[in-house]
Amino acid sequence: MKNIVKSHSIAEKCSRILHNPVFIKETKLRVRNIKFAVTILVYNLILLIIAAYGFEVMYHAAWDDYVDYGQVLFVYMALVFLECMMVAFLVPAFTAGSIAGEREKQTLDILLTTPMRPGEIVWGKLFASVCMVVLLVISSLPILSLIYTIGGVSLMEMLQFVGLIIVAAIYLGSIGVWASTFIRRTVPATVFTFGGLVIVCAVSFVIVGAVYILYYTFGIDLSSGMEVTEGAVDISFILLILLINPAVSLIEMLTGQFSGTSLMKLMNESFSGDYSTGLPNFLLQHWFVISLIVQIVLAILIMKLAARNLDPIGKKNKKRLLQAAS
Amino acid sequence: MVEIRGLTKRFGKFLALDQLDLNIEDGEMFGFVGPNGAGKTTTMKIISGLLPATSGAATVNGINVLTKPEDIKRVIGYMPDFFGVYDNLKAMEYMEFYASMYGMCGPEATKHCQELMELVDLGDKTDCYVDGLSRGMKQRLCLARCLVHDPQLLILDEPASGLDPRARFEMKGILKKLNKQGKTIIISSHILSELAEMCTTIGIIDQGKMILKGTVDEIMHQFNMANPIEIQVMGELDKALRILKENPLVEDISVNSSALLVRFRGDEEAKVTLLKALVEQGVAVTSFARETGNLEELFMRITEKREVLSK
Repeated sequence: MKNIVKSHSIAEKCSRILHNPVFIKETKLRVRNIKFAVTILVYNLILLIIAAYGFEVMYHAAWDDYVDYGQVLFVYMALVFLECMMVAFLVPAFTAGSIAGEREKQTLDILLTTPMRPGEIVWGKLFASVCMVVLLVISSLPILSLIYTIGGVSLMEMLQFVGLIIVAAIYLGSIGVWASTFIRRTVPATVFTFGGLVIVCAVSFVIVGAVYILYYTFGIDLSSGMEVTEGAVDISFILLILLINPAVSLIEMLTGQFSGTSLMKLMNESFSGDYSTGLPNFLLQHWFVISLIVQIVLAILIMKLAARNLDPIGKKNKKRLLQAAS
Repeated sequence: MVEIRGLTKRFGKFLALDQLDLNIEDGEMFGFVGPNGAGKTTTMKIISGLLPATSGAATVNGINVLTKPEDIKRVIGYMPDFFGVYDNLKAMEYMEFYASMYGMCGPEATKHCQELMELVDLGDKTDCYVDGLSRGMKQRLCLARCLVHDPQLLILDEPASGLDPRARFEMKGILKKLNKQGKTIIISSHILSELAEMCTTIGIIDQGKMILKGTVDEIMHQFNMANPIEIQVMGELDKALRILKENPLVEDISVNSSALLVRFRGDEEAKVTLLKALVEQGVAVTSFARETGNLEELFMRITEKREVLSK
């Protein structure tokens, strides 16, 4: 039997992502499951309740006969924040069982005997999960568009939000897929992924906060252990750790869209001391986009690790046996 | 087709395979026999590229399985002893999913999958959900899945496990058909009589080492050579005993009512000479035959030895 599909050109290789058999199978299985339909329903119901409540408050909070439509931005922020929180909880649930689930169902060995490379398998799993998240976000667009029709939120700003969600899904999803490759069972893998989420979102803030407290509250220079005068030292470099934090990307996006200020610029002023400008201006101005790029790059590296974990033989063993044979 | 030299596999301190040597020719149906934990599944997984070996060499069709496992994926079809299926996938979708893994899609692939399902007698189950099929049907579907890319070598780890006699009979028929088509098949099983019936060659493995290998007839001949010759005589027992003791190839004689059990290390020609000697000297021999065993007895003897040694 001759192979019917052969990929040679770059365009064909790109289309292979969409024709990835694991991706197609996973998507098919997920949408056939009643749980997914229930997830979409509950997801949108929560958003609808919040939106409805927000509009109700907005319309009834007026002191006089005029309604302050500017308050719709608060409804938008609440919805965006809520969507991001829900995605942050759903993505680990979607991805942590991707490989561990195959192992539990005893289908992984058969998968690994096919010509599909481990990288193709893990990326197929990740894209299927990301597609589910995108489907959820798209299903919520009619609710979000209520704000768009009232005004105050532009199409570009809504697209920024969708972009953030997709990148966060890929980034957090990669952690879930990676955990799934070395943790044998779905539940522990899910717990590990949530732990990863906490480290990325909360612990990075804690590290930044701890360094700030050590320098400016206790006046201790970390490198020398000597006391420092407040404002004398530029410790803005520690803010770079926040590039990996999707929560910071979200706050930066929202503050940039509505307040005209930037969270990172404010933090840079506090961390750079009196005698330095701190982080480069280009970085501060484009923090949102740069952080998304950093998170995508991290996701790619994590997925490479996942593919390596999934390879049953591994490069090290092949090298060892090759040397033994020669 | 398959060449294994000095294959060793350790799991920590446990030695699963100990310098295993094995050769399987094209077109053979090789039966892998051994007690639980003997190393059958480990060997099959290493050949299939699912486990790294500790040392040794293994090639399939000249391809080094240990260093280039990705190159043998299109040559082999692997069926594990325990496998699962995907919920919410129909049988045809299941087949098409695996066909797409080998780069096959479109109407031609669907037709090919249909043909394979008809080969395993599941032609009328294409629209049924896989998780709703019976155990025997799932095994046959898995076998069809193994064949989707027309591999030259099938590695089947206990394909008849858990099947009722009817389902086992059907599975046997399909495997014989595939072997006749020229496919090389490695099959492991505990149902030794079935293996003896359909396999061209048998390998008996224990504690990671190949104990015996050959055709069923060769193995049973080797096994039976260790069995005593039972000689039944009518009267003149002492005369028979005297003649037997004079033969230098007779190692041991025991008497059991009217039968003599003789441990004889000669070949078939020497056996004929011994019988001739008895008959020519007037001993009335009513029966002269070596005790024959079967594969089950051989298996029991091997595992008994292992249990004794382990105590």
